[in-house]
Formats: sequence, structure tokens, C-alpha cells
Amino acid sequence: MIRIIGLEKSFGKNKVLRGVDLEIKTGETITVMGGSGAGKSVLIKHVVGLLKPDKGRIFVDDAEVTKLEEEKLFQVQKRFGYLFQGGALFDSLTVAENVGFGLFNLRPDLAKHWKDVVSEKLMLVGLDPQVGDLKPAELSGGMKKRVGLARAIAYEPDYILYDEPTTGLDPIMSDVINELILALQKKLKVTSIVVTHDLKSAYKVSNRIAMIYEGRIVTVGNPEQIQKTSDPLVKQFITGSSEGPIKMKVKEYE
Amino acid sequence: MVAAIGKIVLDASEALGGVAKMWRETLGALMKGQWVPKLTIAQVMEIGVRSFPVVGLTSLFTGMVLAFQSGFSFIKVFNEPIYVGSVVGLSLVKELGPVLTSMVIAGRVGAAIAAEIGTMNVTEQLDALYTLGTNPVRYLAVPRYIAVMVMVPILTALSDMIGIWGGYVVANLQLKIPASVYWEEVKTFVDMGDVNHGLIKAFFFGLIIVTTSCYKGFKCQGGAEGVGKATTSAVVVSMVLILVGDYFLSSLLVSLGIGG
Repeated sequence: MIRIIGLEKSFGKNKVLRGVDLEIKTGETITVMGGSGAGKSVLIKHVVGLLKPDKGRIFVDDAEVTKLEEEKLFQVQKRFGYLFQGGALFDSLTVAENVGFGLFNLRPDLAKHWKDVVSEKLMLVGLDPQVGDLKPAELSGGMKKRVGLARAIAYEPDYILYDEPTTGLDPIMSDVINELILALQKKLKVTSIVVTHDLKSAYKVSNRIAMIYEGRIVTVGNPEQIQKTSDPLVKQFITGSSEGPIKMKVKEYE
Repeated sequence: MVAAIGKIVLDASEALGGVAKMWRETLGALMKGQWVPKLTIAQVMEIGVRSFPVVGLTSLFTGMVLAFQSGFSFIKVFNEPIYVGSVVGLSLVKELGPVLTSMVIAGRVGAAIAAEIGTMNVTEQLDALYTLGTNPVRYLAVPRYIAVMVMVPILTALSDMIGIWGGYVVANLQLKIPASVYWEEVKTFVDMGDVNHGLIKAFFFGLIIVTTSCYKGFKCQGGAEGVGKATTSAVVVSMVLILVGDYFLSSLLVSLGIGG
């Protein structure tokens, strides 16, 4: 279980998180949706200890991530798999070395036969193990996401964090990624946080959906509740209307 | 005005704090033997071996031009090219060898380090390292620290030898100085203290280059533009710090009796 309590974070004068409270139950997939720059990615980076909050606490089971020293934080981090928005694959390594990278530090037991683990995980995300010999620069956007996903699940984490898993992909590839997320949920029984503004993806993969606006979680509900909501903020977001309480600043042409 | 000074002080404090943290992590990793031999060897090849041709060429022609200029200047004053070997030897070993080698390494290697780590930073590859149980300082900075700080003094020593040999070619062929005279002047005026003086400076110039370029890479923000700025800044700051540091290091070493 992950508990986020009163999380606040600013970058210079920009207050990104203004008191986020959220609880993620073991085994569930929760989607955090919100506009660009709403602080979705910043939120999940705090969960895994990549960012330190100005205020607030995060618990992963009983461990308070926000207070842990590097060595103890490492013990928590190894329970997380993280799919980065652009894949964040290491350019200098092959696909196979990328996928197997975490095994050597996080799962020495699996590292002995890392090539088999890499082939298995590549197949699990629908890729031919021969892709392992390629460099990330030779892959398409969709393949990069899949390799990123294979790398995140290679050491069999308890939690997976997905940062915009379908952004920038065509609709069919987006659906393939959604199916993959669902399959991993069933197969590996992981607890997941998905950060996205792709509503179709959110409805498909989530047990619950939370919406973040102006640095706070403004609503949490299951996909049906979100679709039928009368909350003007959520309604405007899911209908994609420029009219409503959410104001986007657009400079007018003169 | 006060705000501007305040900002400079704050920025400088932040940079010093960041550098201190990076040094602590690097030293800690070195003490615990947490460095990857494969990555370190790759960096030694990239930084040392592949920089050798340009360092060699630079020092060869520096030695040649030093012999040429000093030889003809001395002919004007003394009617004969005396002390060419000592001028070339001392200038190269104490100053031009370490400074020019470091300048070349700052331009070639410092830029590459800042650009590579900076790109990894803006494409979230550094965050990815953390999530895969790897400290980016240990994985990226430590091999580069070892490679730069070992290879800059070695390249400097090679640069000294090539430069003095380049000076000999000009002295012998153009200025018609006999080989025995040239080499005797080098041997008489350049002692081990002078060589140590240059090599110790080269070691610290290496520290300046690798610290500046790693720090700029780790602090890089803002996509391709940010990487460009970090790269330029790494080279410029390294070069300025080398030239400023050169004076103070030289004074310190001379006061300690090393190469006085």
C-alpha cells in the first residue's frame, strides 16, 4: 500500500504540488489524470524517492520514503518498476543490456541467467528477443515504450509506475500498451500508478481514477463514477472543453 | 544591485555545495572500491588514448614555434641562438605542457562529458539509473574522475617530451644548433622539480575539468538548449578556472620549493 499525505513541492516560485493526499491499495491500478504541467509526473517521482518534497509524507507499506537515507531508500526503490515517458533507455547500451540492467543490482539471483530473463521479458511485452541486439536509437517510439516496460518489470517489482505510457503513440499502439498493462496486472499482480491524460487508457486500465488540479487531488472514483460525474472540473477535463472552471492561458494573436 | 549580488552569492554557494556533494560521493565510492573497471577502461581509452593525437600535434608545434621565436629573438640580441633548449624545456615542462594539454582536454573531453551526462539528465536516463538501483555519480562520474585525473598528467608528460623534441627539430635544422648543445641546455636547466611542478598542476587541472563538466551535466535542465548551454559553460568555466588556478597553483608550488 502507498499512502501520500499532504505532499507539497515547489520549483522556484512555481508551486506544483499544494497538499496531495492519496492512498493506493495493494494490487490496484490507480490512474492520476490532469492537464499538462499539473504535477502528475512530479507526484510519482516523489513516490520512488527521485524528488524530495518540501512538506508531506509518503509511506510505502510501513517505510516512510520521504525520510529514508540512501541505503534504506534503495531497499524500497528496488520494489518499484518505473516506465518513463520517453522510455529513458540508455543510448550507449543495447536493448538487452537495458532490459537486464537492473538485475545485477536488484536481483543478483536472476542476474546469473540474465539473457534468459531478458528474452522472456521482451516476449512478454510482445517483442522478438532478437530486438535485444539493437541499440535504442534503432527502435520506433512504440518499441521504446515496450522495451522500457520490459526493463521496468525485469526484476519483478511489487509496484509499477507508468509515466504517460501511451503519449505520443498511435491509437492502435496505445491500445497494445493498455493491453500490456492489463496483462501485467493479471500476471504479476502488481500495484500500479498510471499517470496520463489519455482518458481512453485511463478508463481501460484503472480500478480507480484520481484527478489532480492546481496541485491537489480534486476527485477519486472508479472509471464509471468519473464518466458520470457532475463535478464541473472533472466534466470539463473528460469532455475536453475549453469552456469551464479550468482556464488555460492562450495568448491571442493580434 | 543588492539583489544581483545576492543572486551571484546564492548561485555560487549552490554550486559549491553541489560540487562538495559530488566529491563526497565520488571519494566515498573510490574508498569502497565501488567503480566499474569496464567503464573506467572505456573512459581511459576515450579520454586518454583518443586525445593523444591532438595533444601530440599541439605540443609538437608549440615546441617548434617556441624554438623558432626564442632562437631568432636571441640572434637579434646576442647574435647567436643561445639558451633555446632551456627556454623550450622550461616553458613546456612548467607551463605550456600542463596548460595546453588541459585546454585541449577541456575542449575535447570536458564538452563530451557535459553533453553526455546533460543529455542523459534531460531524457530522464539519470532518474532511470536511480530506479534501477544505480547511483549516477558512482556509475558516470567515478570512471570519468579516475580517467581524467590519471590521463591528464600522463598526456602532459608525453606532451612535454613531444614539444621538446619539436623544439629540437627547429633548433637543429633551422637554427643550426648542434644536438649536443640543445640537449645539454635542456638537461642543465630542467630538473625533476620542474617536471613535478608541471605534473602536479596537470593533476589539479584534470580535477577542475572533470568536476566542472560532470557538475554542469548533472545540473543541466531544459532540453537540447540546456545541453548546449551546459556544454559551452563546462568548457568556458574549465578554461577560465585553469588559467586563474595556474597562477595560484604555481605560486603555491614555488613557495613549497617544487620547481622554484
